Amino acid sequence: MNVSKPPKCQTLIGRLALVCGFLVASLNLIGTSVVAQENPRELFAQGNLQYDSSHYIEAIAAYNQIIFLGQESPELYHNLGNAYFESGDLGHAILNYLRAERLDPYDDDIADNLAFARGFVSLQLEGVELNPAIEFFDGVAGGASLNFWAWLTTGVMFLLVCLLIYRIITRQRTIALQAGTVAIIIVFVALASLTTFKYRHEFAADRAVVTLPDIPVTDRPSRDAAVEFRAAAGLEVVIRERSGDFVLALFANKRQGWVLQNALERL
Amino acid sequence: MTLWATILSMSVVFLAAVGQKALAAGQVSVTLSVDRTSMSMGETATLLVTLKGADRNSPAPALRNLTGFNILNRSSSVNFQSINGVSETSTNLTLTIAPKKIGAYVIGPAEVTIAGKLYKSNQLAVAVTAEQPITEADAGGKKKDLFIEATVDNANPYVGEQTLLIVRFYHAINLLTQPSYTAPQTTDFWSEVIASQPAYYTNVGGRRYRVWEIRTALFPTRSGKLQIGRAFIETQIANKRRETKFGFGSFFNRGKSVSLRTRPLEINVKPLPTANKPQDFSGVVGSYTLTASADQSTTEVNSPVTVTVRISGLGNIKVLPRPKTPTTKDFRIYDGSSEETVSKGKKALGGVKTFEQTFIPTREGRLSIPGVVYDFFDPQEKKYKVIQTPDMPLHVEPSSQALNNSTQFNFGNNVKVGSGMSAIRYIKKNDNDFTKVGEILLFDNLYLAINTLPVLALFGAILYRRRRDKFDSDSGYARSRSAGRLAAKRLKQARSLASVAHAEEFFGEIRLAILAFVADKLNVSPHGLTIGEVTELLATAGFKDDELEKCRRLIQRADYVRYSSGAITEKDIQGSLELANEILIRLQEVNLERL
Repeated sequence: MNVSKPPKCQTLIGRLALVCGFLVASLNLIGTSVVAQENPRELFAQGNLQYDSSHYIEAIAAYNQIIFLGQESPELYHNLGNAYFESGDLGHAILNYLRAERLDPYDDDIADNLAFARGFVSLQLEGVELNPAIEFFDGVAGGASLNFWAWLTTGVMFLLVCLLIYRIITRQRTIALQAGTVAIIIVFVALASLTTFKYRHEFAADRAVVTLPDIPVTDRPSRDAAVEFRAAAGLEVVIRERSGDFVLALFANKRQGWVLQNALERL
Repeated sequence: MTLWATILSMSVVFLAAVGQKALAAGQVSVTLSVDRTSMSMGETATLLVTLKGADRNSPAPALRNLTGFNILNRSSSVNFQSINGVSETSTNLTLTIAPKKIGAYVIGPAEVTIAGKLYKSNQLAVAVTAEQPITEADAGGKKKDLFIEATVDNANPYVGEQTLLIVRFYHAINLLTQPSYTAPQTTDFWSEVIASQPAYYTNVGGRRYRVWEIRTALFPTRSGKLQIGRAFIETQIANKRRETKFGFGSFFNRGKSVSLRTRPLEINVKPLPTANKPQDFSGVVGSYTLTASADQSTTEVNSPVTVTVRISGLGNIKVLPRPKTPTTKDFRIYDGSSEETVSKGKKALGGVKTFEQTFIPTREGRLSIPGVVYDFFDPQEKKYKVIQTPDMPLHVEPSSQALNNSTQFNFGNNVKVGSGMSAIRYIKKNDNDFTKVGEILLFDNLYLAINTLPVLALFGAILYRRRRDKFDSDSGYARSRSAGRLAAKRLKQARSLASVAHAEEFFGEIRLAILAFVADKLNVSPHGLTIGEVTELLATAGFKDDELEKCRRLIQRADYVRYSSGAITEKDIQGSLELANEILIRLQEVNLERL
């Protein structure tokens, strides 16, 4: 579990209260960068050189050092996925392609490599049924990053608020103004829903990837439990529950079972 | 009535018929025998009363001198035998007895009266000694009713070599519960129970025992002197019985729990020899054979070929590591699933383990999948062995996915390139801006602040609208809210007129500033207010007497100057201006609206 968990959402009131207090501090922080012992750019270049020389293990080490320093980028995860793929570690390859895709869903290289790597997963799950509603939202929201949707929602909110202020100050009640207000409210609610879906689906859900080959999936959280099936490296799961060293993993075909925690890595 | 009397009376009825028949058949005899003549407290003996030659309706023999024992169990059987046309009936009465106390006893004789004649059996001498403590098996322990022992078949194995631990539980007496086995602690071993065979009988020291046997394969994980802990058996056996005055003691005897344990065993584990040890030795110990096969001999670029490696033999099959695969640029190699079939013989653990590997050719041509190399140490032959499978030829054709994809682009000259991928896209060289790991915009304080701004602006607009509405609809409120601003404006105007030449206008503005302030706060006309009314209101509002006096004097002077300005000096004007300013400040401190 190399990647730290996203910050928990606090209550709205608490967050708003904090905002005012931290506004000045936040503004002061703009433009400053994290002071690291090593330069991420140099490490990135070093990893690329190692990759060019087919030294994939060394490339992985250099890329991972950047993540250890607390920095990330879609390009970094993409290259790390490539290095893992070339070194034969399919699980970590898919994991890092997914991380890259989450940060930059527009990038065709990332999407193609992820699809290509998925084709090599040695176990294909049967009976994968997709929820039409989720598929629809995913189809719409999946085309852009969370940041894009968040800023777009903010922009529309500004527009909506300006319109409302204008109506309040001027007391105008024309049909065109009312229709425009309703339209913008609908757009705002739709965008806010998409942003929420994007966040819940890609960041809040406890998603993970099987990173070790041939992992027993058992019917209870015990090493002596009956093995229901064996999972392959690269399979994507959602973690439902934890019990000791085990996690309850939900696979794409809705089959679930207990898997040793160290066989998975969170997105 | 004693228990014995009860049994006797029942036996009389049971054997009555037998006796009648025996009379007709010939000589009647009664014999008494016991399976042991020496026993300790807590042990049991089997007493057999045999009545031969009597009719099956004959009475049962009565047994004398058995008061020193509890009868734990009794059973009877009738045998018919025909030899040369002469039939004979024998009735056996079997009693399981347990001593009540230490001592030397004479049991019997057994007596039966058939057709008025008394028949007597022999007598038996039985010695009862003190109870032996039941602990663990030792040389003398084999005389006990129950004991446990643990042995290993190889006390000097190599690291990873199997040593067989056999735990045997012997019991010569009946158990009231199934024995419960607790395996010994084997910290430095990988263990697997390989056989728990059905109980069998054996003779130890001339005594017949029922034996429970548990076999465990142990594989030491390190060299040196290692200890196998104690194994435990727990069960329940019959307790010493106490006769009640009604003779029903045995019915309420629930038995006692017995716990047996083995002695710890120590074995000396040898390290694997260093001579001729292969480089990067995997640590596998046992005796194995190796095969490998590919599921196809012809494929396309980027089409996977599954190679199944099969390792079989004797050893710790479950922990066999995956074979090392030589790296080659011709293939991408991925580890697949593994499966093991463990066979548990009586003496050794073994089986088959299969590993799957996926080879994906990266180029076309006549390639060969490299053979699998596996090394292990054979403890029987005491040497390292390296086994290898031959290379597997593979004919790789160009990828049809890349050439025959539905989305094709024709560049002329019959060259077609599909959109399907034949390899992953190359790494990205541009180092775009890095961000903090796990940073989510939605929870960024700056983002939240930006989103808070329009909400605040909306609230501001609503408040502004409400204020404007109140100003428009409530003139009193509007006058009250603007009283201070207007007073300040008038004072400023007065300051600009502060000269003897404009004394009349100056004092007019001073007077209006004070009176209009009070009138606006009270929403009344300033022109109707008199000095008396103003001072009275101010007194009610909390003005002190000296403050009231100052206010009264200022207004009176202003009235006076309006009609006669000749006696006014520059000093008076400046003093009045300061006084007016002081009074207005004081007026703004009090709440005139509540009056």
